[in-house]
Amino acid sequence: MARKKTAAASAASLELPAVLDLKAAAPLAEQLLAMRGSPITVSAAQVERIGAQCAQVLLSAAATWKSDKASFAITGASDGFESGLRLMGLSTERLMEQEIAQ
Amino acid sequence: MDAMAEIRATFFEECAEQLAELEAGLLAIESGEADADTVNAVFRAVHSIKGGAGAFNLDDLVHFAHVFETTLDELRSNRLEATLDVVRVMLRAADVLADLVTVARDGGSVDAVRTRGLVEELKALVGGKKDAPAAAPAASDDGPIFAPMVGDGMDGLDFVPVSVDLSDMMDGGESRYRIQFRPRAELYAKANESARLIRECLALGSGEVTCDTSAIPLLTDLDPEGAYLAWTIELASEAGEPAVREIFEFVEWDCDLSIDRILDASAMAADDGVDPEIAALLARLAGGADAAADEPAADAPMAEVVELKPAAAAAAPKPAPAAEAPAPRKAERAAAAAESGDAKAAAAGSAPAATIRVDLERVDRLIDLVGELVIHQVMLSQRVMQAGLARASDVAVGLDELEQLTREIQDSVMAIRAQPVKSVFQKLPRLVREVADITGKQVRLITEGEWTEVDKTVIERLSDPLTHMIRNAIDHGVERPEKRVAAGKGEEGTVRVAAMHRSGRIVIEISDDGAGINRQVVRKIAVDKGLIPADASLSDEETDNLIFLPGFSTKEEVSELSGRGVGMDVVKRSIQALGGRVSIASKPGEGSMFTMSLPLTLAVLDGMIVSAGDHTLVVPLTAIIETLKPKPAEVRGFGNDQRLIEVRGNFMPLVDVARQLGYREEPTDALSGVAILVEAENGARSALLVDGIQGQRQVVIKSLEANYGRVPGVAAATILGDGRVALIIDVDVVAATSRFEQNYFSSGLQAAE
Repeated sequence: MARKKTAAASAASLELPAVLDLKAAAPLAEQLLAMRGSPITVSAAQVERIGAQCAQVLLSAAATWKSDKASFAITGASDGFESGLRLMGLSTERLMEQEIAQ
Repeated sequence: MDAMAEIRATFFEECAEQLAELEAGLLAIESGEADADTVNAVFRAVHSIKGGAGAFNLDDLVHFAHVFETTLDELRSNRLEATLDVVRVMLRAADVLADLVTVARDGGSVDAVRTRGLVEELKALVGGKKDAPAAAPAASDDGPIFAPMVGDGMDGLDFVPVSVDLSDMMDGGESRYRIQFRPRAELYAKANESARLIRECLALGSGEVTCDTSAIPLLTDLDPEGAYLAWTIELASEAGEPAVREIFEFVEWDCDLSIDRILDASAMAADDGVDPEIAALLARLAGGADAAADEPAADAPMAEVVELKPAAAAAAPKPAPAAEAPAPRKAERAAAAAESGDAKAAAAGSAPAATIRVDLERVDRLIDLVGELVIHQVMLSQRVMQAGLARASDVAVGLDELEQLTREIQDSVMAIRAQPVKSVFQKLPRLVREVADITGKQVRLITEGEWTEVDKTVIERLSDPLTHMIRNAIDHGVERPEKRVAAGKGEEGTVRVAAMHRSGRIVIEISDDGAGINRQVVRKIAVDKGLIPADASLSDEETDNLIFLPGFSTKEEVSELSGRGVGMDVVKRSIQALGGRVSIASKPGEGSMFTMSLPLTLAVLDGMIVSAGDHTLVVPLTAIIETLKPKPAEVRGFGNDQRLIEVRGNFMPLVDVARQLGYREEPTDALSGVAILVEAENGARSALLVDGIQGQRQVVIKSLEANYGRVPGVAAATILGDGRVALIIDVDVVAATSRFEQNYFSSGLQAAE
């Protein structure tokens, strides 16, 4: 799992793995939690497949970062990523706008 | 999901079939076996491709197909004689048409000069007959797509190209459903995937998915394996509610699900002037029922068809739209109308084969279930025996009959997946034509046994190695005409490809009558490239086999054909990956023959059942060279706790399987066990030490990855007659010889446990 991490204070970046299936959800949540607090750029360039649970994790992360007032961006969304989200009635934009319903 | 994309995919699928039919027909004409039906079939193939291409605005394809069709029409109406030259031009035109289809599908570019050249040639064949009925303005290269083909001989099949929004048509006359789906965590825990369920729903028709994300918590509160999303799917589909429910059959208990029909009369959009062929395409796509519901169904000629084909729509009971009493009848008529394009086309030529398209997944599931059935039947027999019932008792006799029946079912189900190798073979004539052209040689291709059946997965992976071997046979095997004449042979070389069943495997022989393998040259190259020592003494056969070594290339200069960086080693490896073997026989001056032997299916495997520790394992038979009882003098310790075994003067690693897989802590006693000599895909040999051999039998392969997860060292699993699961060893991984790999491997194993 490619994982690039810059100094904790500055913006962090995370490279999503190719397959975001059921098994990938827990490690992904863990990784994201560890990076909480600083602005983050998540690269979805390598993604070939995404399942519902990983979408949940990313939605939650977007909402979390938003509530922390830190920036959360998804870059380079691959076709696989986009079409996987589209299938589930989601989109990259929608994902980044996720907020916690009060 | 994109309804359009799916229709497109279907279109290209059909194109492939039609191109095959086209080529087969032309070849039949070439060899003089054609009748009127053949010409019609050829014409129809091109016509259908043109029709579909028009709907997708594939202008290049339409142009070319049109010119081609015009020429074919001349042939069909006997205004043009099918001389050898004419057929050759047409064969090349068929190649170009195939290229255009490929480009339309995958992008890229075609050789425009070649296309234009052929357009000219085709037009030249038609000659001055520009006023021929079919020669509409479209024959000009840059006109509008093409004009309606009036009176082109396709009686009544008026080809009226219009821009049709196919996705709208998909909605027409279908039932709409609102599916509300809220999975619970258990659904994911059972390895179901919501995205897959949604995809399956959308595969039934078209629809819109909305996702409710309001339940998503903060990351700190999130259980990554929980379920927080819910979906609403508005689905328009031909399929009935049961079909929709069926998708959720296995997850019903792990989600909140509601499926409601929405009654929406406006969905019955009328769409006039739809090309019957597109309608038919859509109809087939949607499962045989109508697609363009209110299409000009009531028109007089169509009504006749209803009379003729009353059963057309019977197979697909249409849910009647609200407040429209005669709707079912209408739908039926529309279905018949959709079919009329086909029916009439069929009337013009041979009837289409009575086949259905079935999702491969369904067949696989059936195969899986039948495998279970066989296992349970064996278990049942064993229980009966254990219960002490006599062999002649009614129960035992009944069970014997059941056994025969299950075997028969298993064979029949396997036969569903089996396909004739024709689909691969029919690509060969073109390959041979092209390679012969490039190399300036004259080659005749003979294929035999093209109806030999083999599993679909094997067929798919057969094409590449076969292509490569034929290319090789022409490039390296067959000599140039002048050389052949000098050698007292005919100018034209022969490449023969034959497929046959032999002892439960499929054997494919590729032979040529060329010069054979030049062993001195092969040996010299191998020495030059450092593949063998200069003083190695090799038998003829061993020398021939050198060409399978990685990094071997016989041609001094890299030709256009062999310079693709793919050597025979790749061929050998891809055949081995399929569980097959390849061998060569060559006679100088008389030619060479490559023989591939492949398993008929990848769903069952011949294995040796062995025990290691308390476990039963299966070693694929294809990897095994021999088995032996180690003698004390042959086993040597090596390093820390590694062992080597000496076999006829060669040392190879002795891999302790029970220990390697973590079944046992202490080393297995080599002298009480059995050593199995195996060859990995890279040709490395090693010996697997197991406790004993139980027997040899065919086992049904069950994917471990799909049902559990990937475990290094284990290729798959199977279920034995007594119901126990036995793992199938991945010989390549288990036999990984370097110490580093072994250490890495065993730590990986522990992590997996």
